[in-house]
Amino acid sequence: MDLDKYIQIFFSQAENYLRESYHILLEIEHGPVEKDLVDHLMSNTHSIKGMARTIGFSDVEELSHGLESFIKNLPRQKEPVSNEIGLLFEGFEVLEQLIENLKTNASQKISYQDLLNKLHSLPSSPDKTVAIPTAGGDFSPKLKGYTHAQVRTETLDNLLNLVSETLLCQNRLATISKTYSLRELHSSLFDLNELIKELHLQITLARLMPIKILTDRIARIIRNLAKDKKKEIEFIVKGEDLEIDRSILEGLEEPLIHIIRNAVDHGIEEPEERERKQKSKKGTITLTISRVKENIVIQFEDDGKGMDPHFLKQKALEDGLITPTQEKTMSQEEALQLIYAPNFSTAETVTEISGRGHGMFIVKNKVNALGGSIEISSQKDIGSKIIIRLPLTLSIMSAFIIRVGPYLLAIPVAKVIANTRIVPQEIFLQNHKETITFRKSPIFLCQLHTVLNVASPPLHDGGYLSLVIVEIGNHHIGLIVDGFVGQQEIVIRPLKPPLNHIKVFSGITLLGDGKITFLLNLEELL
Amino acid sequence: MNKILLFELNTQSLGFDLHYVREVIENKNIQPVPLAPHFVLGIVNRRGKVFTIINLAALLGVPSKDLSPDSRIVILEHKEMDIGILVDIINQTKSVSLTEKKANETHLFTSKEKEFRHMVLKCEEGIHLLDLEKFFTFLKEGKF
Repeated sequence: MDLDKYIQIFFSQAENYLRESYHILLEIEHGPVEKDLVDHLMSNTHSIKGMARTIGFSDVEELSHGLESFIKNLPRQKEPVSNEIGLLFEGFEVLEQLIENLKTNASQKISYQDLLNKLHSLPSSPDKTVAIPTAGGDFSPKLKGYTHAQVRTETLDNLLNLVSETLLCQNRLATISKTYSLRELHSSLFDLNELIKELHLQITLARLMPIKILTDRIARIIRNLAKDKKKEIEFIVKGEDLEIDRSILEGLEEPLIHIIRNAVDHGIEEPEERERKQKSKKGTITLTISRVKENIVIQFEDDGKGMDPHFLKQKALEDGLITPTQEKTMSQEEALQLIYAPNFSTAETVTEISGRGHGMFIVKNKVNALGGSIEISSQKDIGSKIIIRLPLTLSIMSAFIIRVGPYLLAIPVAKVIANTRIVPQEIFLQNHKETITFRKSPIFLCQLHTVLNVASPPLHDGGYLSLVIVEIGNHHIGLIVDGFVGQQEIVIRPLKPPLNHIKVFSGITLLGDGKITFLLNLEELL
Repeated sequence: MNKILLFELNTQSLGFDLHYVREVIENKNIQPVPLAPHFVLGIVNRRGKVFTIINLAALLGVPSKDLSPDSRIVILEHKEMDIGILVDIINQTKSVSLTEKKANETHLFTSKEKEFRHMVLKCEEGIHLLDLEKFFTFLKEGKF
């Protein structure tokens, strides 16, 4: 095997070993130091060391050797060994940086000698001359029963694209078969459709990644940040065993880390302040991940200082984002929405006092770009709660096709509550917005014609209007449309420049007859 | 020497590097796009790929000519974008040396998009050349 290829394998395996090691460290940080876990950790450092030696990455080899020796001498006990774990975290982080530098050919030098000295001198590490175990010894990874193969992520992307294109092709054929009433072709196409669906499912499964990868990273960020800020924070994760599509996981990383940083930085108070407020000294951040229908729901909660709607309104008024009348009539819930405004809260005072809001504009945009929604609630001195809802997969979905003026638009079926008809007399004004009563609750209406700048819809025979009721976060709104075209499996493709700047759409799709349709970004309609 | 594709917008003759041209197609089946910038004519589906068609005349501020059977869409090659440009007449390809000068005849183009004026360079032999890299950056940045 040529060296380049081997180096690539090293990078990819080292990434896995590091990820696993962080997870183990987080596990033994608060619990007993179990032999299995320590052995696993040691085997990881050993493997990194072995590969690094073969390639000639001497820095990586030296540091992983230091770590391995240190781990070997960790006291096996019931009580957590926080000092040692702290040092190990530091060690693995430096190791990760060393590897990252090699990967990116960065020239900056990372010094790790101090760290090595510490690893050698901490009392639990008396043995300074550990023999290097030979490969195939106790620490070699078990090859038997190895059921996984490494696949390049690019290949997975290509596979998904190909299956999507196949589905489109099948849709086109189905249209032809329908036009010419070709019964035999029709039944073959039906079988083909079933096969494509199965293929899509299998590829979707192959693309799943455990959300644990991200939550472990978050746990480390919280740990480090809390240490810097001298805060005590307990991080609880529920549902980390769930797996999600890697593109969603990747897209989620930045917004989630943003939210977490805000919470640690500005949300959770310092221990003394918490005691004064008669809260427990230790703040808590809880991340709950669950699957609800075709969505992944990520609920983030902290018990920090929360946000003060009154203060947010004052600030928005000062910045000229709202008028004095708006300030007076604005509900508490509406006031919280102010943090999503692009120019809001960049001032230091706001982040200091309000406790959150920094860069929430970006967070919201990122979540929307993934086809998701975000909502926030907060109570002063009790804490904040943020809920992010995301679709399970991004590329293929069942969509409802509607017509507005000359345009065809798609809405994810998962978001459609009902499609119905109303007569204009049913519409009344509430908070200056057109409203109807649906299943005994008021629902705001949205005239898609106004949004898209086309002429108002004609009344259908019988004097009614067509209405699609959709769910956006925990809101329902009614979209007035010209008519329904049908339901179809569609393949979503991203909008490319310059069309990606049209915020009302989140994607583009081709229908079976070759017509181009836009996927509505429902969030933008709120 | 670089190969240039020469074309006309109304009476204005322009060109761009042939290297970027993927194919030239007929001006057919353009679907309008709601809420698109004023210089976007629409989109076309070309063998399952969706291209955004730019009305270059509108972008440059050259008076638009009515669509004629001679008008063509030049599909461009780009890694991240699928773009076609509507032109009135395709003339010829030509080899020119690319010692570029800034076009100072800005009166030719009344475009509101200030930076777009800088996208037109004048090269040897009096040819006005469109700087496609700047054009792509403009579309990507979305300041319209």
